[in-house]
Amino acid sequence: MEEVAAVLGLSPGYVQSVATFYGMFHFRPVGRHVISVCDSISCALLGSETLVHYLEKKLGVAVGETTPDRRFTLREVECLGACDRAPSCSSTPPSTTISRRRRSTRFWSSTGERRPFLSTLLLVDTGRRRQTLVDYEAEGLRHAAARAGNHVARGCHAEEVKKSGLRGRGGASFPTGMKWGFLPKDYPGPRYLVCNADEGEPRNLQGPPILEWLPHRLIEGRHVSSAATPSAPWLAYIYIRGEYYDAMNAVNEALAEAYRRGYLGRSVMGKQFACDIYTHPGAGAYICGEETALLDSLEGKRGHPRVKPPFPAIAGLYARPTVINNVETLASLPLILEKGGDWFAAMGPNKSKGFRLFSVSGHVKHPGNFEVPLGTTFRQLIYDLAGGMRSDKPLKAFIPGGASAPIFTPEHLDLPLDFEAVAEAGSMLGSGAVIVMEEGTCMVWVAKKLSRFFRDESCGQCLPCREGTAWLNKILTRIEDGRGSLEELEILLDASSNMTARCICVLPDAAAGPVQSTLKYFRHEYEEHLRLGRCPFRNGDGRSPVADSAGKVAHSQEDGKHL
Amino acid sequence: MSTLETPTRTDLVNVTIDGHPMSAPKGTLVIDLCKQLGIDIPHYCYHPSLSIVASCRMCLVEVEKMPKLAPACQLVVQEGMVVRTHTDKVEKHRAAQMEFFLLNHPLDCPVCDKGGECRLQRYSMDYGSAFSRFSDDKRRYPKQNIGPLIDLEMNRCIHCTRCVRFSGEVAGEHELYMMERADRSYISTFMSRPVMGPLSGNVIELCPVGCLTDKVFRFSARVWELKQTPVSCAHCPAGCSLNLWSRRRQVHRVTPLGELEDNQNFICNKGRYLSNFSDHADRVDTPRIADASGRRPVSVEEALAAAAAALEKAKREHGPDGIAILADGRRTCEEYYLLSRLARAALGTANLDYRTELRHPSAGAAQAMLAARSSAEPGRPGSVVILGSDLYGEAPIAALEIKEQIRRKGGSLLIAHHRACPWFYQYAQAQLVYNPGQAADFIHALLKASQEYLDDAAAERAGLVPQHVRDLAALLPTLPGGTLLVGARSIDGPRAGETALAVLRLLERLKTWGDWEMRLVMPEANGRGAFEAGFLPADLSPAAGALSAAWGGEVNAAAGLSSPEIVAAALAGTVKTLVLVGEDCLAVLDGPTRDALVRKLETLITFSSFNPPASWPGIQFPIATRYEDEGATLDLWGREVSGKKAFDPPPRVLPLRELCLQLAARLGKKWNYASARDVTLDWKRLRPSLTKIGAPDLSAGATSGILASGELWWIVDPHLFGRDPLAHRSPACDLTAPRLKGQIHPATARALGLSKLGRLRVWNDSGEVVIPVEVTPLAAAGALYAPRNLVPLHPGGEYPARLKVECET
Ligand SMILES: Cc1cc2nc3c(=O)[nH]c(=O)nc-3n(C[C@H](O)[C@H](O)[C@H](O)COP(=O)(O)O)c2cc1C
Ligand code: SF4
Ligand code: SF4
Ligand code: SF4
Ligand code: SF4
Ligand code: FES
Repeated sequence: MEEVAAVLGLSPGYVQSVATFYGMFHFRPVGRHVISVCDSISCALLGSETLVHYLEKKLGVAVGETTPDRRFTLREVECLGACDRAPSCSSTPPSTTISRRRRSTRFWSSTGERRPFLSTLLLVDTGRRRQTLVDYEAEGLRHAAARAGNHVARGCHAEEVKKSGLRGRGGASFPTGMKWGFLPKDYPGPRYLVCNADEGEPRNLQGPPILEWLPHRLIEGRHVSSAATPSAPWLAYIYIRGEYYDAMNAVNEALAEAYRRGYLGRSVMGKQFACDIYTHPGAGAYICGEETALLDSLEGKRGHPRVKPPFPAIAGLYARPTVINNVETLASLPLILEKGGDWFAAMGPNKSKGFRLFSVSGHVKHPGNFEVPLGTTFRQLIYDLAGGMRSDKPLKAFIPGGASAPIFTPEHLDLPLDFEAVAEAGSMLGSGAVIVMEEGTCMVWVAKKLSRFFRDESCGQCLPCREGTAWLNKILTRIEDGRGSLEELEILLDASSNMTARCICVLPDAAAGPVQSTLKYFRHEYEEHLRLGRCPFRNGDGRSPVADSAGKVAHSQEDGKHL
Repeated sequence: MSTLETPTRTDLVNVTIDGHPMSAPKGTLVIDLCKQLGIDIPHYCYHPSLSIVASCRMCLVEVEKMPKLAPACQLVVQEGMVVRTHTDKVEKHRAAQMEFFLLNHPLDCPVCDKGGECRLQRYSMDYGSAFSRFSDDKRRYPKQNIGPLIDLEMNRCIHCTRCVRFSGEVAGEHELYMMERADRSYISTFMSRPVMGPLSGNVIELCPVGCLTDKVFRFSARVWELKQTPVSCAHCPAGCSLNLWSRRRQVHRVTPLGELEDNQNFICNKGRYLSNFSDHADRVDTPRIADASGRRPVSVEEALAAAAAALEKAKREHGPDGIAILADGRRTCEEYYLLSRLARAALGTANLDYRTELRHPSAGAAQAMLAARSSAEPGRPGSVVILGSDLYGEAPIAALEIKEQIRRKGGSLLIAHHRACPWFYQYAQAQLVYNPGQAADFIHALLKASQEYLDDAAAERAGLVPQHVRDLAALLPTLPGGTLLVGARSIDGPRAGETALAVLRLLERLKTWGDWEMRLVMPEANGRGAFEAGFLPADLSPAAGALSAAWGGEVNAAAGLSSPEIVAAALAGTVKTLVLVGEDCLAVLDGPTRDALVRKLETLITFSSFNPPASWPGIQFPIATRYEDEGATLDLWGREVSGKKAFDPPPRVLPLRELCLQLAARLGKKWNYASARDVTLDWKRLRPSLTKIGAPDLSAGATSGILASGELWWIVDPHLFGRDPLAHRSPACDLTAPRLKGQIHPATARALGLSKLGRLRVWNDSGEVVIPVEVTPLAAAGALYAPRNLVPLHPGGEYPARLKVECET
């Protein structure tokens, strides 16, 4: 670290401070292979805890440790973006012992068999491989770049996007056209566009497929957005979650293609219009998905969400005006331009326009990403597209929009995928990650799992968030274990409401959601835990209350294929 | 409707706070406005000197039309804003906050050094509930050791990052950081290395809780048992105001004066940790007379009588010019004033000096002239040009003040010195390093370049890239004005006069470009005070009339001998009676020379708080230390800092002030001072006359010599945290002291056959030592930086001095 500091002209303490903030830097020598087991809710629902126990036994080391022969290091991580094949784990760097077929990262699936992933992505069938520039051109969507050079067209681009009613896909669902409108007009210096591909939200899977298979859409979308906002030099960054090696590679390849073809560079398509795109990997911190934390992270700092105002549109990256948009938001733009804002707006009810990717994971037959027009109901999404429940156990609850969204019960199944309708019912569409849980899933355990995630991923600046998330986790862990008192349920409610709406960012609000909603709908389960002094769902052997497929994991690997 | 002072109405916005409509200047933070109104908004992370992070969330208030509570520390007043600071919602939030704060807090107030001053303790009384609903194990951090000065008790930390922000943003020392994230995050240094930055101690007061505490002061007393006294620091020319916490003659703790949040006072670790010298075992507590037969205690009267008789005799037999007074640089203005009066009016000698570090005879007059041309008003904002001084090393708080002023109000910071200061690299727009002793050439080249004559030869003589000098010359005229800070240490050696004249020419030129003034950074802690009290051998003839009117009778207003001249005269036997006031007045000499000088004297009279060397003869008076008497000092900017008496001196020990009066009386001078205050008033009345000195003849001296082979220029500037007579009598001295090493430029090192680290044998006529050196590009080529406390040899009169060196294997 001292050497890094010397090279960068920073103080060594700063380097240590930044490096320890992120999860992906190792401070002790690790084994040749780092085995990372996903510990987030989707994988946990399908038995990652058992997988970890198995690996611990097999390797003879605890999580975080390295085998004495320095071959393997075992880690628990948050979401590898492979929830459709949960429980997942990855190993880096690629090794002969595992498999050479994939370039850098191997995902193991619990069942071995590949399930149909998704049919269309941004309304095209990708065939599950990276679309090259040639394919992309064949699609006839590349006009935006050509038009981008045309200054006259600028205003109408913005109009078109406004008309389409496109709302950010990153979580906050803010109307994209309006966001662009906040940029100062005629700002002389450089300004930035940042594409948020941090997709750290557990089971948030829309990003990787777009990045891996349709990177050119993204590049094009970038063109559109820069053309649609007032003139000035532009630089764009794509901040890709560090765990997504494949996505990173794909985007880099696509960028190289685009540069070669003159779609990017000093003068795009021979016009007076410069445009550069850089990719930037994350380093393992969920909070860097929050837009201002992402900017800090891009600037090489600890990823702390910033106090607002000033908003990024005024002083963002390097204190310049900055637009931050989610991958999916940007990638939707070329289509909107091509087919028109009205076309987009025609889909979906009320203020929720267009189509959107939803990922369905958990106890469904066919977990994966599904692209549907907004307004479709959850029932259609879960039963028609994802194939319904994986076994005969009925659906017990589902999370409609990522870990941050309060939980829903079967009575909400007929709600449409509509931002306002979902909000009215007390949750949010958020990141569009739908997590389904079957009967027999312990809701206290779910809340505990989620609380642990938020405890670990809080950046730690704000007192209510830092202390609150940890406190909730402590109480929930205890209750799940059957220890505690009924008064503590009140404390849970109290503490979670004391965390909300008072911090720099909304992470604590997100952390409070699952606790409040599980207590609302499943209070009796909490009481049951306390009455019995143990988890009513847990088997006698202490195995996780949900994982019956996990036995199989252990099995397929015991066969000696991998280890 | 109450209005806060502001120039024009248009800069005001109307806001309502807790139902009171008022107007406030644009850009005011709600938390500041509330403070001015006497509304206390509890807060932790906010501090006016630090950037705003708004992360503790303690200061949230209710604002109309805002859906959520808003942090007052970040909220800027807006037209029509309606703020409520005491609603149910706010109170409920504060209670919830206190619960979160205390969740993992050990609450060991009875053994916590912050007890009684702790914000957490205070707010939990105001807002907290009596019992905790937390039943799990509290978070425990392993104990860290971050050095001997500051104790880190992480379990008490509330993660407000004040310390991190101070260490980086304000102090520029970048030592403390937040590591990890979420609830695992903790404060530490890189690999838990010790925190040693000269400014680092300020985090002790900044930390709102008992996480960072004074390790030296720790547990030695409870704060409410101690007496607090405002004093001025005796250690360096920054002249900080200190709050001395004492019991009997023990200083238990030192903090900056004033509530830290109001005036952003900071102090450095020297003032903080090394002010506990008054109780040292070396204190002399009785007057003594030492002669061939030994040293015997006498009464004060006896000693005074003996001293008066000796002085009368000396005056009679050898004339007043055979008498000289040397005082150290730490006296108060009143003491200097009385000593001047004693010398010039009672004894009739003009041989008096406080600049005990001066080495060349021509330097005294040169420095005095620059001092006389220095601005007399307190410092002004604007740009700052530092010439010939490593201010961060000489007076850290003055450097901090300058840098903060520029950060807040704008301006440029430009530095030229014979040694680079890494700290300033963060802030200075340009930092030039010229060859030791070549300041005059540098200024010459600069002035030429500014007139578009290119005298690159001068730049090269100064060891500078001509283009850098030209760039600087192009930049200066574009600045609206500011301060030229000149390091007095650079005005020494045979070229002192030439350098001083060059500085004055530069000042004249600057004044044609903008609103510039000059200040001299004297090495002495109260050098400015000594100058303004007339305690120097300058030509005071312009003020002769005023002086004899005020002092009565005959006054010697002529120029006298400066400190190197006094030393030379004493060695030559022309000065036969020497009065030494304070500690280390002959520190510039090596041991044997000093003893030879003392033996040569007819009479030696010492006034000192600590034992003079046992072999010294003469009449020895014990005196009170700085903190045992009241008195004023002047800081670098000429601002007066008044010090009160913190505790009594030992019995039979009198303040110097008192002894001067009694001695004058025995010399037949009746001075009418009823109280200490009268002395102050008298000095202030005469102050304008005392600073009017006659222009000395500064006809340029010799050019500096050429280095012989095997020789290096020796930069002797002492290290602030090296040993000096007060610092090394403070128990914590060894804790703050850096391990000193000489510094040498890589090119020079190569020529000597030295690798990255090594040892050098250095010698001159006065002796020889072996010292550790490090090779660093911060040093100037051809020079060795080796503080006096590392190389106790006599530097001679040259500036810089010379040393013969050889690589030690
Ligand atoms: C705790 C937290 C985590 C977030 N994580 C992500 C993320 O992983 N990906 C993302 O695109 N947006 C994330 N966001 C939302 C971003 O802050 C921001 O709203 C979004 O990038 C804006 O893009 P959009 O307007 O296209 O939605 C997160 C927000 C919060 C508060
Ligand atoms: S709310 Fe939590 S995650 Fe967000 S800035 Fe504050 S501490 Fe960080
Ligand atoms: S930090 Fe404050 S509250 Fe904590 S133990 Fe010390 S005095 Fe008590
Ligand atoms: S050590 Fe003190 S100042 Fe630093 S973050 Fe902790 S509480 Fe704040
Ligand atoms: S800067 Fe100088 S005056 Fe101020 S505390 Fe330090 S040593 Fe004392
Ligand atoms: S003082 Fe305002 S948030 Fe800390």
